[in-house]
Amino acid sequence: MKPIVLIVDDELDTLIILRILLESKGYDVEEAHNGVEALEKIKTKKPDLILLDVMMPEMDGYTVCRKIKSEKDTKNIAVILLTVRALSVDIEKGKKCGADFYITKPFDSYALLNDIHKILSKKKLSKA
Amino acid sequence: MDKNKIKILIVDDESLIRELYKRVLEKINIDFDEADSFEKTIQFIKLNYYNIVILDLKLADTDGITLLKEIKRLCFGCEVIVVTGYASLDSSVAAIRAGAYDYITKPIDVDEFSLTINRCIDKQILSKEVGRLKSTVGLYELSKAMTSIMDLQDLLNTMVRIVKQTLVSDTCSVMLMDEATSKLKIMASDGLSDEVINSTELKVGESIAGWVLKEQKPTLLFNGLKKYPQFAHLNPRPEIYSAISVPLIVKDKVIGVVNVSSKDESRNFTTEDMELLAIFASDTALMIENARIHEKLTKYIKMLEESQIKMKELDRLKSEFISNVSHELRTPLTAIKGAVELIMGEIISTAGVTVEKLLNIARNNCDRLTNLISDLLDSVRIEAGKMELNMGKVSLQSIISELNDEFKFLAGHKNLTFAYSGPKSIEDIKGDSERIKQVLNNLLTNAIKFTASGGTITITLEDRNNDVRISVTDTGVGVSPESYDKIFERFHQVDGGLTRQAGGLGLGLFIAKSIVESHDGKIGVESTLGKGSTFFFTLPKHNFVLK
Repeated sequence: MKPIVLIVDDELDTLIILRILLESKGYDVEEAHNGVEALEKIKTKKPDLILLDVMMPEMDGYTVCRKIKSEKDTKNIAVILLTVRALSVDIEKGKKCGADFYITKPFDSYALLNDIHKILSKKKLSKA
Repeated sequence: MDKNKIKILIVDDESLIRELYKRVLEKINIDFDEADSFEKTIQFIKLNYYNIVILDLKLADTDGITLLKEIKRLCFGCEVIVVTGYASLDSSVAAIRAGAYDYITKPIDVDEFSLTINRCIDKQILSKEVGRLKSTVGLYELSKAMTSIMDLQDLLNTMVRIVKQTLVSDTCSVMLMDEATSKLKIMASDGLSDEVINSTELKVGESIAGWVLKEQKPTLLFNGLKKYPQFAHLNPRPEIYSAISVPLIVKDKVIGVVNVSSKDESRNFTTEDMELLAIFASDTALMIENARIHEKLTKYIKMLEESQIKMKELDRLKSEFISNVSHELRTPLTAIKGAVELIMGEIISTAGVTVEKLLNIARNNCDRLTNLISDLLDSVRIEAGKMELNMGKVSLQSIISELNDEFKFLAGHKNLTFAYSGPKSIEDIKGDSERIKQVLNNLLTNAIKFTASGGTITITLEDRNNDVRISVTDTGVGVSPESYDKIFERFHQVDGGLTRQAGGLGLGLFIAKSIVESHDGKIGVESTLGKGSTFFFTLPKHNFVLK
């Protein structure tokens, strides 16, 4: 079964690029445009990994991440915060809300694919 | 009070009798004046203060009782000893009834006269002493109570009220030196008209209060100013009969003057009153100075607190701005870099997406970056006052039609209806065409950004008498009235923080306002929250003379 990746961003161009990139490696891609929509999609689509933007309308990425990590059903979903916020305080904040990884925009496409792959393999291992 | 401060007026038309009184008074070392008629007596009373008057009831030119009453009326606290003819008991009784202290009969028995006059002197001294003690205690209590008043105005108001009461005056005022203008101004008063309060402003040395301030001398005045050489040239206020002015001195610095005045001829202020007021003034001057310092400090503290709040707000705006710039720069770069990497990695071939689509994304985001950078540069230029206008003929209709095409396309993406209303033709105006286009562009960009799909955006052009008015009306989120001015400030955004609905740096309206104002136009907004907004700007027609 293909791993499902949920991409959450309010920038349409970013979503287009992420989708092309991820589909090229055989992932199933779901998308959401804000935090609230993301939480709904998580329930219905049960993704394996989430690429989560921070600055978004309705609900910011930190809050979404905290919610995911505090729920029994969703806390095992890997979360990569993908954000323009590059200050060390932001990274610290990201860690505090339980994110598995923190990547700043603009990101390196192939490095991102690599990181996703590593995180998902690790998850598989720990499950087995 | 001691005996040598007592002053007596002898009123008798027989010089021999006056000679007799004089001998007695000189023996006990008492100061006196002599009068032999009604006229003279009144003259003396109006010029000087007498503690005691010895009055012959049988003067050639008057009825003694009338003169007695006049003396009592004009000379507050004065005692009158009447002298009557032998065995005219009736007139003595009438005199006592009219307020005389005692009577002696002619022919004068020197011993009896000495006794009576000495008794009267003692009584005068005693009653003055008692009165003085009473006032001193009163003012002392007041000074004590006043030390707890921190507010300058409260302190001064209390001061004038109590001084007026204690000295039985008609008016009392405290004048302080204004440090900025070096002029004396009435800071608190009781009994003065607003006209006097507002119009009185004295230089050092000017008028009576100015003189007292300069010379630092307590001053007692009554019945006109002619007899005081330093004030003889002044026009006294006709309603004032008697007045005291004393300086307020802190260490060696004079900070102001306390004045009291009386309209009533019977209320002559005395040297005792003046001394009392001087003592009170020296007690309160320091309190006034302290209250002034307290007031200044309070003001500084408030200013400090306000600037601290402003600094915090600036600091917050600054970090929000940095975070926004970072977002606004990195977001398009992310799309550009992503698109380029996809093309380079030939991933698109597998994904079945056209190269053209990715190149389009890259180009649009380059434009977005370019706009952002020019906005930033514009705002820096505006802040430095270095925005230059390239003045020429401006055809508003062609600007609107260019933008109309561009934005109709964008509005279509969001399913917005786009409309224009205005005259078929309008005269060209003078201005910087590119800049005016930028204003309208910024207003339209906002309208699209803040209007949900399905809404309407209308551009309206009005040809008015002296100007043209261009407005952009949307059916968007609206602006609350308290933000009408703020949204035109640099970096101001309707919502900041992580969950902001719209991107941007908060520069669009700031730039628009600067451009409109540099064209002598006006910009503004009318809005209903939740229903929509109309942003408008005007451009004048009158200065269409190309240089």
